[in-house]
Amino acid sequence: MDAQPIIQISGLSKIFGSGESRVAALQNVDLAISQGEIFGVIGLSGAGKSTLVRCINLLEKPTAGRVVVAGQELTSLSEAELRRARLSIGMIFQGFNLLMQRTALENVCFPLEIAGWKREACRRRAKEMLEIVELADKEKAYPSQLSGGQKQRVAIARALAANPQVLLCDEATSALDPTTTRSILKLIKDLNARLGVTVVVITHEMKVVEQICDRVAIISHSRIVEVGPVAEIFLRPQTEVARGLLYPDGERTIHSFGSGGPLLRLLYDGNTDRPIIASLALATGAPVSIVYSASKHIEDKIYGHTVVQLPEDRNLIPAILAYLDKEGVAYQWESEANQHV
Amino acid sequence: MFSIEMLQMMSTGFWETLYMTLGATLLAYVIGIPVGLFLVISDKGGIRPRPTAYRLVGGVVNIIRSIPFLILLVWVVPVTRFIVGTAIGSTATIVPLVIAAAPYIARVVESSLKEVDQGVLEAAQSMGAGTMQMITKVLLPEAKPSLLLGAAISTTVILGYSAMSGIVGGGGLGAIAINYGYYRSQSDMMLVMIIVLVVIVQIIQEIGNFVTRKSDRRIR
Repeated sequence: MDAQPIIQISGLSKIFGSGESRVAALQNVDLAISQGEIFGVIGLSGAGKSTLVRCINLLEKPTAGRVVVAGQELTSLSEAELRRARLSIGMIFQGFNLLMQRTALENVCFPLEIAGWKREACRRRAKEMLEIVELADKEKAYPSQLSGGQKQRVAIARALAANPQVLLCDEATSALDPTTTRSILKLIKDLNARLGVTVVVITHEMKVVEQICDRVAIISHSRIVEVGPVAEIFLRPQTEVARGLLYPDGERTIHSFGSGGPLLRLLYDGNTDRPIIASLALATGAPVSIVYSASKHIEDKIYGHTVVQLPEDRNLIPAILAYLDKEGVAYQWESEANQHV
Repeated sequence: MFSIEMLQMMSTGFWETLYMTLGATLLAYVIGIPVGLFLVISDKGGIRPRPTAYRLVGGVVNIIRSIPFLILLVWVVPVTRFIVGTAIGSTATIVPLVIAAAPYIARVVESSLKEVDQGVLEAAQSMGAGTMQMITKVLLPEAKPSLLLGAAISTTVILGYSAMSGIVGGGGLGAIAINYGYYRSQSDMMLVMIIVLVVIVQIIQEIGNFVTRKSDRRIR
C-alpha cells in the first residue's frame, strides 16, 4: 500500500453542457490509488462517481486535470496511444455489456483480438480465463442463456483477459441479488489477491465497500469529501454525508428515555471482543440502557458504535467513565443539540 | 385463358422482375451500408461525432428520399443513358432503382445499427477498440439480425418500385400489368400479375424472417 500510486488523479474536473445548462459532475478531484489495493468510491446517485470512474480510462474526457495510470499520463495521449493504454485498464459494468451475438468464449476473446493476438492464442487464453471464473462449461453459451451472475463472471473474464493492471468496476453488482453480489465480490477479491490487479469499485452500497475494499473515498456533490481506510471511515466518519451512507437507516432521531441521564456514544475500533456494556453495568452497578447501536464486520473485526443512556444519578458517571478508560473503549458525549446519528 | 406466348411473356417478366429487384437491392446496399454506418458513427453521441458532415449527408439522403419515384425515374434518364447506354429495359431500370433505394437503405441500416446497445459500444471502446474494429467486430455483427430483417423489407420496397418502372419502359411483371392489364383493360391479366407480386413479397418476407430468427443469438 506504500507503493507508488498506480492511478494518480489531480485537479480533475468534468463539466457537462454549457451556459445555463452547465452541470459540474466533478470538481477539482485529487485521488491516489496504490498498486494492488481495492479502492472504493461510494456516493449517492448523481454524486459524480460514475463520471469519476469513466474519467480514469477517459471514456469521458475531463474538462480539466490530469489522470495518470501506470505511469502514463492518459490526458496527454493521442487517440491511438490512448487506445493502446486502455488495453491495460479492464472495466466491468452494471449492465454487463456483453456482445449478445458472441458466445461466452468469443466475448472473452474480444479484447485479445483488439490487442492483435492470434486466433489460437485468443482461444487458449479465453478458456483459461473462463476456468478462473468457474464458467469453463459455459464457453459455448450465448449471454442470453446465462444468469446475471454468470454474465458478470464472463465480463470479469473478458476485462482481465489481456492482463490489465487496473480493473474498474462501475456499479458492477448493483443489478445482482445479494447472494450473487457476495459471490461476485468474493471473485473480485480473489482475483485481486491472485493476479495483483488494482481494483477500483464504484458503488452506492456500503456493504460492497465493507466486503472488499481496503480504502474508500466518499464522493458527494461532485467532490471527494473523505478518503481513508474503510475501518477508519467507518469508525470516525468526519462528514454528514459519510454518516448518511454508513447508516442509511440511522437518520432518525435517537430517542432518549424521558427520565434518564445524558447520552454517551461508545466506539468499537475492531479490538473489542468482550461484552462491554453488560460488564460495565455489572462493574459499576449503573443501569445503562442502549438507545442506538450499529456495528459492521470488516475483515472479521467488529467496528461500530453504541449510544447508551446513563442513569439519572450523575454520581455514577465518573465511575462509568473510569471503567471505559480502563477497558480502553473510546467514547464521546452526544450533545443534546445533535441527536442525529 | 392464357396462350403459350402469354405464359412465356409472364415467365420472362418474372425473371426480369427478380433480376431488377435483387440487382438493384444488392447495388443499393453497396452504397447504403457505408452511408448508414457513416450516419451512425458521425451522429452526435456516435463513435466519432462530425456534426457538420452528419447534417450534410443526412440532408442529401432526405432530399433524394423526398422525390417521388416516378419523377426520379424520368429525371435520371440521362444518367441511365450515360451508364447503361439505353433508358429502356430491365437493366436500365436498375439505375433509378438504385438511386431511389440507396438513401432509403442507408436509413434502414442506420436504424438497425442504432439498436446496438450503447453500453456494449462503450465496453468495446474501454477495451481499446478503434473505429474500424468497432464497425467490423461490434456494430455490424451485433446488428446482424436487424440488418437482415431490414434487407427483407428493403427488397420488397424495391420490388414495388420496380413494378412502377413499367410505366416508363422498364421490364418485368409491372410492365405486363400496366401494358396488358391497365392499357388494354385485361383485368384477368392484371389480377394474375398482382397475385404473382403478392406471392413474391410473401416469400421474400418469410425468408427474411426465417434467416433473422436463425441468426439471432438473443432469443433461444
